[in-house]
Amino acid sequence: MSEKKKTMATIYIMGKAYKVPSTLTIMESIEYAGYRFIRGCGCRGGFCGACTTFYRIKSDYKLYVDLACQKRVEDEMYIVQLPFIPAEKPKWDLDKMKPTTDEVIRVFPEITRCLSCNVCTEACPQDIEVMRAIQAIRRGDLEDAVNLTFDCVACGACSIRCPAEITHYQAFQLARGLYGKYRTIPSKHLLKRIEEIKEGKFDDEITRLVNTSTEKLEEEYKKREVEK
Amino acid sequence: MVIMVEVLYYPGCSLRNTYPEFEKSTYAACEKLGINLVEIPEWNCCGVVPSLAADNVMRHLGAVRSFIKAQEKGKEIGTNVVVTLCSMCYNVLKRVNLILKEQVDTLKNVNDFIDDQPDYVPELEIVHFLNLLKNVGFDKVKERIVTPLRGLKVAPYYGCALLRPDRPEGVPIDDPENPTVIEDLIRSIGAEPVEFPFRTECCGNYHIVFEPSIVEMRTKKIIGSARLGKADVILSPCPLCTYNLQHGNETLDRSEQVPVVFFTQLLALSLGVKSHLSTEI
Amino acid sequence: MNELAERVKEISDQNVYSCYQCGNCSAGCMFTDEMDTLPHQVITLVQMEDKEALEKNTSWICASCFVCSVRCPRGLDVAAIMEALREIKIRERGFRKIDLRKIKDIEKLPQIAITAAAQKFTW
Repeated sequence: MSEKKKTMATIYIMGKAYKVPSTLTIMESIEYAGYRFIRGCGCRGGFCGACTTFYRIKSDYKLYVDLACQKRVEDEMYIVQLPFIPAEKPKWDLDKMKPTTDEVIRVFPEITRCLSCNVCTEACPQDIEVMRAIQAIRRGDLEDAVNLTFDCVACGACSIRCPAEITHYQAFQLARGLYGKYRTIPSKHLLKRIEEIKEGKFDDEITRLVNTSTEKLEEEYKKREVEK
Repeated sequence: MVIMVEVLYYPGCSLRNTYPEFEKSTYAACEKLGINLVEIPEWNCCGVVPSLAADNVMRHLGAVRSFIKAQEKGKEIGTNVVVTLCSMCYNVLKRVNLILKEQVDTLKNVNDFIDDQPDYVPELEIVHFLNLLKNVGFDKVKERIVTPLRGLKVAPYYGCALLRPDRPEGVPIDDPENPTVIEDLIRSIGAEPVEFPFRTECCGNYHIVFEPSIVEMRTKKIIGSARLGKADVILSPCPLCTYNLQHGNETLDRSEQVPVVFFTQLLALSLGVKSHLSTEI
Repeated sequence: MNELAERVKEISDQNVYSCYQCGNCSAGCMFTDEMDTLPHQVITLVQMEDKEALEKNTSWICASCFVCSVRCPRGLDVAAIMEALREIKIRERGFRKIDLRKIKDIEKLPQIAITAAAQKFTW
C-alpha cells in the first residue's frame, strides 16, 4: 500500500510564518492559517482579478505575480496581496468615438510614454503579452490588441509595475469596446432578443417567477433541463 | 515593375495613424520606382526624441526591440537596410544604432535586459527615404517621371532631425549647414526649388503640445521665408513638421499661407500615381 | 569640478568647463526670444555652481534642435547639457512639469507630438 505523503509548506503572510499543506492554493492557505477574506476575494475561479498576489520564493530575488485563487503555494513563499489598484477610470462615450488608435491615446495619453521595457508582460498572471498589445495599439492595429487581451481579468499587476504609469487593462477595455462596437458584425440574435424583451415577450414569465416562493423556486431550479 | 531595391521598412506611429495618405503615396511611388518596402513585423514605437542623457539606456529599448525584429526579417529577405519615412524616427533609430555600434557596454546592457528576445548585433543600416532615393539615383527617378511638375515652385524644408546633430558621425543625411538633397529631388520631379534661407530652421518640435505659441512664432517665420521666395508649396520630410507648419498656416491670413505637403506626395504626383493630396492643394 | 557640473557630466557626458563663452550657441539658437537667460549664460551658471541654472526657463524652452551643438567650436553637445539640466529636475521625486491629462486640443494633435512631449518632459 502506497503511503500518500502529506507535505507541508512554510509561507509568510505579511511577514509571519505559517505551515500549510502544500496542495493548497495561496487563497486556501491564507484561510487555513485562520484569516477570513472580506476583501481581495471574488470568484475564486481565476476570472475576476480580485486576488492579485505578489510573492517571492526564498533564495530567489525576483518578485512574481499570480492570482491567489489559482496559484499553489511553494515552500518558503513570501506573500503580499494587492486586492485593488486605485487607478483612475477616465470617462468615455463609445458613441462619440471612432475605432482608431488616436482615440485611445486621447483618453490615455500616457500610452505614448511606453518604453517597451516589458515589465507588464512579466507581471501578468494570465500570460498575456501585455507590451505587445500596447504596441499593437500604437501601431494602429486594434484587432491585434483585442485578440491578444481577451483573457485579461483587470487585476492591475501590469499597471503597478509600469514606469510610464499606464493603466493597461483600461486601455484594453476601451480598445475592445471600440472594436466590438464598430468593427465586429453586430449579433443578430442579440438584437432580436432585445426587441423581444421590449415587446414584452418575457414579462409574464418574469412576473410569475417574482411571485413564486423560494422553496418552489429551488425545486424548479433543480429540475432544469441542464441538470438532467 | 522590376524590383530594383528591397529594403526593410519602419513606418512609425504617426504615418500609420494620423497621416495614412503620406504612407499610401509612398507605396504608390515605390511601386513605380521598383522599390519593395518590407514592413518590419511587430515594430515598437521609436520614442520620437532620443534620450540625450548618456545614462538613460531605458529609452533605447523601443528602438532595439524593433532592430531585433528587423534583424530577423532581414535575414529572411537578405538585407540589413532599414528605411524610414519620418525624420524623427530616422534620427532616433540612427542615433541608437550608432551608439550601440560604438559603446560595447551599452549594447551588452541592453541585450542583457531584453532577455525574452535574441541579442541585437549592430549590423543594420538605418537610412531615410531621401537617402534611398539618392542611392537609387535621382537621374533614374527622373527617367520614370510621367508628369514633370513644371512651373511649380517648391520650398525645400529640411527641419532639424535629418541634419543634426553631427555627432555621433553619420547622422546628417547631407551637409548640416548647406544641404542639397531635397533640392535635387525637386529638380528630378521637374519642379523648381526656391531660395529658402529658413529651410533648416526648427519648427518648434514638441512645444506644439504645451507651448503652441512657440511653434506659431517659429512657423510664421519659416512660412514667411518660403513666401518671400515665391514658393507655391512647402515640401516637408517629417509628419511633426508638417503638422506644426499647418498649424502656423492657420494663424496667418489666407494670402500669407503656403500649403505644406509631404515629400512623397509630390513624388507620387509626378510619377503619375495616387498622391492622396487633399483637394485644396 | 563642482557638484552641479559633476552631475551634469554624469548625465550628459559633457564637460561644461570646455565652454569659453564664445556665444555661438546662443547666436544660432532660434528660441532665445522666449528664454529668460541665454544658453551660454546658463552654462556659466553651471561653471559657477549656481543652482539658479536649474530654475531658468532656458532648458525648458529648448527644443533640442541641435544647432548649438553643431556650431560649438569646442565640440560641446550643448543640447545634451540642456537635457541634463532638465533631467536633474525631472528625476526629483514628486516633480511634475506637465500634466498629460490637461492637453489642450488633444483631439487634433498627432500621436508623434504627444509622444515627443511625454518623453521629453517626464521620466
